Amino acid sequence: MNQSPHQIDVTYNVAANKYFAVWRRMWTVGDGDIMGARINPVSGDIVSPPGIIAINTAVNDQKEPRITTNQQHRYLVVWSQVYDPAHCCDWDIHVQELDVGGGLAGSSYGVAMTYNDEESPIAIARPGATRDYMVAWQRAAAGGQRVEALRWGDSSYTVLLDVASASFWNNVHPVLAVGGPFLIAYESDSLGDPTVKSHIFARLYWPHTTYLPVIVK
Amino acid sequence: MQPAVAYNAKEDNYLVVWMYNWSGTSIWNPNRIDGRTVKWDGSSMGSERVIISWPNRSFWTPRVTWNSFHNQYMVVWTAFDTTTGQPHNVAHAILNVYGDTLLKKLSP
Repeated sequence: MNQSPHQIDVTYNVAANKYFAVWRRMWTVGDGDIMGARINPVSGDIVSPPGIIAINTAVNDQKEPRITTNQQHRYLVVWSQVYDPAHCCDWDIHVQELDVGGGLAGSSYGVAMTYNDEESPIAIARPGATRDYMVAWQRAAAGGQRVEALRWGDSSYTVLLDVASASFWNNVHPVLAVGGPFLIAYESDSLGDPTVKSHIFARLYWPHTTYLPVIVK
Repeated sequence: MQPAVAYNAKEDNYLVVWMYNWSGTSIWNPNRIDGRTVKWDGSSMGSERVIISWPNRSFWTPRVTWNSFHNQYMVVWTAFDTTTGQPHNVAHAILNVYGDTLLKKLSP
């Protein structure tokens, strides 16, 4: 039973002293699932129990899992999921929290579910006992790909961020980091202008203060 | 292609890993995962290391994270079978602060 595992990602939680890997496995052709496992940092073996963890095995196709941790009591897994399992399209962004033992903490929920395709998700958790998350993704809107992000947590307002939405530009492949502010970097390229090359842009999000472009390269 | 990086706060340096396409850029071409450690100022800490290379395998999308307790790194990747073009397995390696591989596990 190979099930073609692929699209692996990994993080490390210092409170649990364990790695946590997530990946996509194919249950059937066209029905990918999100799986995970805690990994012993000394032996490299999967920690069992719980062994391999079924993070989400809905009949909807799921892909591109990424994982982050607050280094304390939570992991956050994000992935892209087909809205209607009877059809191929309309990818949305879903998340699932897990405790440090690998148990599911609550149910999975959607964070981006428009009629457009939302793909290439990425997640970051601020280190600390208070949950403070940001998830970013690319959205196939009219006029080009946008980058959007959602920030939420225990002591913060839920904020949807329009990171990059200029028409006739493709903004794709976001990545995230958090220090004081959140940093959202992404690729950006003109639609239909061969003289414009792909560049890397980024924006800083300071909660309750500013939201500014910071890098053009 | 497809670089990934992790920061080591104890050593104030980085481990950068990437996919090295020595034979082509498709999943039908054998290729490997390489890495190297880089100091805080961008200077090299040593030569590039081959993290995983295997006959009939094409290794893609490496990711890396830093273990702050053991001061080590874990690198993960997807292996495609170059004879079928299908994903074969996901696997990982644990590396020390110099980028030397301590152990590999070829399938979870």
